[in-house]
Amino acid sequence: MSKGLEKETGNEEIQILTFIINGVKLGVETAQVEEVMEAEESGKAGTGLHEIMCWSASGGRWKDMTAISFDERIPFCGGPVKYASPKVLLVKDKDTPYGIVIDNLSEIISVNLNSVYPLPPLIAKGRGAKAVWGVALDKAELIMLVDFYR
Amino acid sequence: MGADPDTDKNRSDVTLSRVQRLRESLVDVEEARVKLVIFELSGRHYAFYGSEVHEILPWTTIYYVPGAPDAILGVINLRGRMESVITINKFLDLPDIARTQNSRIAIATGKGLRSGILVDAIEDIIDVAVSAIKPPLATIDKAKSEFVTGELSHNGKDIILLDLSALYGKITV
Repeated sequence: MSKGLEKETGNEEIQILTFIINGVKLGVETAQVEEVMEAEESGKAGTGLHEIMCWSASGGRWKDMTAISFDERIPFCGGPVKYASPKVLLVKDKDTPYGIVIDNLSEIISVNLNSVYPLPPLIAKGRGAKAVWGVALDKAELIMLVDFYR
Repeated sequence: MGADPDTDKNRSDVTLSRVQRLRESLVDVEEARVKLVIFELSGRHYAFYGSEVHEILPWTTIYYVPGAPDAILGVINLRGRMESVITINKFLDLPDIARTQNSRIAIATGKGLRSGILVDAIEDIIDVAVSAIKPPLATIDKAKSEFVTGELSHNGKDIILLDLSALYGKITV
């Protein structure tokens, strides 16, 4: 009986890799990320999928990576974003052989499921925000949760 | 016997006037009334039905949601409940909203959806007779007319009554 109660009260947590783009704090479940790579300026940001040189710590070498900037997948109002400190997240998926360029990599945090909320219905029912699937509350701050597979 | 013909002649007129006044006051009491929340956007006055407005909040941090339509400013944490916050200025052909110390977020429900709406200021909450709300003028801009449900005058100000369901419906299309 106590085990059943534990399941219902849910001490389950998810690990979120957080980053900040254009002043907006975002997070993706670490389960979606294969690797975080250093990105060299490619000069081709804003052109959709493009080649970018990335340092793979696991491979111990620079390699060409097909990548797309985050804001080209999920647009911000006010136009294209300038990335001050870009990194490339290699998405963990055989069918998604590309990286996503993000900015201002922050930290990995543990978030209790009780602190994860769906988007309000007016946003969830509308167009456009599908890749942003929810909101995490961390120390009174809201983090927009992103699903790279959407 | 000593009746004054002039007084007798006027008595029925006086009685009829009293009956008239009595009937008018009865009509006023029975006439349906509605509560309106009057607010300001870009110097103009608008209103929602009071029954649609749950709460009025002071300005608070709005967290932007990338990929959402422009009318959606973002999300706020309202006592552990995530609420969207929108701007309706573009639908009314008004300039973008600018935050001031008088800015407020009105939490309101329409079309079965609930959201915060950012306004420049809350002007008043009033009770008006339903008959005081007139249909929108035929000359109203067509682009805005789908969001306007009526017009009224209060304290010398022209107030446009907005259709919340139509506004929310525009965002979720």
